[in-house]
Amino acid sequence: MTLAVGATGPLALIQDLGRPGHARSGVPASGAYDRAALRMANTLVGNASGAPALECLLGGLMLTTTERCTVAVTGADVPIEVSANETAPPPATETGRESPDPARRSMPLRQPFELRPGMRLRLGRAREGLRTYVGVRGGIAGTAVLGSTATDTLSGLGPRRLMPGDRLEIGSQWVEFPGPEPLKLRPLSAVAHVVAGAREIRVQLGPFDDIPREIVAELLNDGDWRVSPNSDRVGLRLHATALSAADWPGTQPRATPPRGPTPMFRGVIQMPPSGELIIMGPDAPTTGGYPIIGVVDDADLDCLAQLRPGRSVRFSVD
Amino acid sequence: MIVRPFGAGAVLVECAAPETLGLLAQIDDALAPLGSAVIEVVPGIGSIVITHPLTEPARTRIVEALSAIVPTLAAPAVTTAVALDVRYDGADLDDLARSLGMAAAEVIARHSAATYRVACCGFAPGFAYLTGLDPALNTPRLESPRPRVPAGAVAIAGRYTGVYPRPSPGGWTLLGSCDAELFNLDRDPPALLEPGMTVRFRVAATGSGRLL
Repeated sequence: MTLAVGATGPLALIQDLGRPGHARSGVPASGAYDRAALRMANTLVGNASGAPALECLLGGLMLTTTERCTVAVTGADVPIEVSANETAPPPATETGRESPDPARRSMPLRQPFELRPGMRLRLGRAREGLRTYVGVRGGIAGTAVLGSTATDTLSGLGPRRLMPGDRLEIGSQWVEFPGPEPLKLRPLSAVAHVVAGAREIRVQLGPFDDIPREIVAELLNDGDWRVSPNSDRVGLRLHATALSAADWPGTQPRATPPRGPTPMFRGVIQMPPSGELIIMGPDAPTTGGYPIIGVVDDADLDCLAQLRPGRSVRFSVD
Repeated sequence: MIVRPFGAGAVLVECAAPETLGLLAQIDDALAPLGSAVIEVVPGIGSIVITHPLTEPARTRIVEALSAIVPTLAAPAVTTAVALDVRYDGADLDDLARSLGMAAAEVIARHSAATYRVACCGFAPGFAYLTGLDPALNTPRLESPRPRVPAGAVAIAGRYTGVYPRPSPGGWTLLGSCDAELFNLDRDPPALLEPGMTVRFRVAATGSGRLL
């Protein structure tokens, strides 16, 4: 059974839970940016929760199926439309006007639904959030690299990004209903938190004191931090309008000489001399040279996947 | 050595840069019995990070095992020595020689005379930071990184030398190129160079491309 890719939007990737455990050789963990959304999409269609699914930036994905299949869409809030193949002419009424197409329907987020052979799934543009996950019963089949089918945008490991004309095979990573894992729909998703603006990004400072922690805490707590358009799966970049490079605390006398490469992982926060913050994403390199000021709480990492450029971010420092 | 919390899922062991590899071997031994309490032990230079599940018992067991280590400060025995054949035809070789006030042949001689040690990996799968560079070759990163450095490029920056495993942007000074596959998924392990190995560069050819 295959899914034909008609359109991809800005960036559509195959993601699972990544390939942790090879950082010593310089291999990033990669994997879904919003892990909870990936797990939910898989759980809704009765897959193992870490099965490969599609991660779509901003929407725009179009798929046509050759056989009956069950899908679920989670993550960023996108309009979901299911229709008969576009080659079928729309039915006309006796008056000559087109009737509302009964075969063209909106589908809800976070609910499994079925596609019949020849039907097309189309994601509109995300209304809130940034990354949408499309889970398919069975998972997306692909050649695993170091135990994962995830696309690593930095190192090029895993399948390349999806292109129009690609044909995706469906895997066999389904489980019997009901699955072994209880269906947890609360908390709803990282997007809900981002939309509500209720979520502060919790940070544990450290591990070093190269930049004095009281200065870091003040910068994080008081800065008007906003998501930069340069953000991607390698790192979420933030800039504060009030903080210029001249204010960078690393230039102050207490800062120590630069360190050698330091191992990093997802959630580690660097403060380079530009005055930006870089929060390591799933495809971040395994070591880094800029000063590290803290680590984002694991429970808040999925939210980072859904922050759009320009959005204001509040930190809460332990 | 100083053990520091690094978020809720990792601890960082800080040490003097030259002690890192010796300590890495000791930490590998000390944590081997802990099984799934350890996800991975990853060296940097002057630091070693141990990632673990987000549970307090895992961290407690790791910190206990680390506290029993008495650093020997000695570099561990060499297990694997790798020799790479290099064509010293790098785009920056002549500029570097000029800025250092030496002939290109001397840069080549100094770079190929040393025995290097893989201190850690990073930047890209299979990219190894090699220590042991002749201090006379110490040079800063390029002011602006190149958008594309070819696979196999042999380069230096600061106190390190290394080989680019795949085409990528890069800010290091290019001395030459080699054909070795630094990272190959059909191999186990895929990375040719791993922390602790020694590396020598043999002169295969100079700028003219003629084999010596």
